[in-house]
Amino acid sequence: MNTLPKSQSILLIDDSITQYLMLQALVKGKNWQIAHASSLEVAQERLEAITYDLILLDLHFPTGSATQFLVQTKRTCPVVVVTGSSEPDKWLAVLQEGASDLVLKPFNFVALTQRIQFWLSQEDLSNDPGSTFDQIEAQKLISLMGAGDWLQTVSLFADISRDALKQLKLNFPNHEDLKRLAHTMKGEAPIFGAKQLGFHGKRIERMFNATVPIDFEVELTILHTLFQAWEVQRLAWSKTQLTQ
Amino acid sequence: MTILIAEDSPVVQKVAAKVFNFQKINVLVARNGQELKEKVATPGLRLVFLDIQIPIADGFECITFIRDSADQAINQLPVYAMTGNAANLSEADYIAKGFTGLIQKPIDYDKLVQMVLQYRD
Repeated sequence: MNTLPKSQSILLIDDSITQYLMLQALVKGKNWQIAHASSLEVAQERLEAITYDLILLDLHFPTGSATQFLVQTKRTCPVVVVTGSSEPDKWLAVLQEGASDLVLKPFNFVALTQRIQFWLSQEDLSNDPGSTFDQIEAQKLISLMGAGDWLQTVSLFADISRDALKQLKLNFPNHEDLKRLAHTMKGEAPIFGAKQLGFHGKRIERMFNATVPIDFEVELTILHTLFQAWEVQRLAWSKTQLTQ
Repeated sequence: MTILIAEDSPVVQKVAAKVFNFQKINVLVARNGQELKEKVATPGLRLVFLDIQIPIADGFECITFIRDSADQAINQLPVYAMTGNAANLSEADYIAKGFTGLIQKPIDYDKLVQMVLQYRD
């Protein structure tokens, strides 16, 4: 007997009905169900009652912000923020509050579908321990810090300003540098037990492999945020070592 | 109200139909320049969106056809160019060629709907 695979459900939180209709047309023929919440309040009610596989969240609402929503709402699936905002400060804020990804509006349909597909194919991240540092990992970190260029790369990334990011964008001809970096992240992550790091590395690498059009500024901002968080953690850890 | 979208991408056709039908706007689709030339004479047509790179007759040939028409209902139609390669030409260049304006791709459907609703009587 043939059984149909269970369809996956996506909750679009956006006050525009047009975005919902567009998405519905886009996913026709795919095994995805789109639900719509036109406000953050409605979204909260729905999330209390129903479990979704993915949330697409607009950045701006008349009665609140996506950042607030991310802080306040308990969720069990990845959240992809969709925004027409060209302010990296706002991108960073949502990424720092736990959004998994960010896609710019107006949508490139191919890229949007690929991103949705990618996030739906990921395992549940709600129990992700993140970059936890136990003693064994810490020892490995020390030895790698002594020898590896990789941490230096990370530190450099974490230190550069956002203006410099825009300049960096010009220095990634043929995507090769970013591709290499993504590959390194993926490879190094298991050593550090840093699931998120490996996850993002994998994501970036996969986007290159799938030749999905990517937005460099967004990708670099994501990397930047990730590395900053990593660097803060690393410095905090070093401090505890010094005081012991 | 009826609008015509000359566009060979099935995804854009599908999305436009869904979005505009909800607003009770009838959407005609032309998949190439030849179909545009036939459908532009549809009675009650209010607005045209014309992708520059449609097959058979491209956007520039189509706009000349529309503006040169002896029928006022056709030659006076608002016609917006749609393109993802706006780097070479500015909106002013498209206007100089007879277009009413330029829609950049990827299309911002929120803005597009607002714009179309302004043409509703």
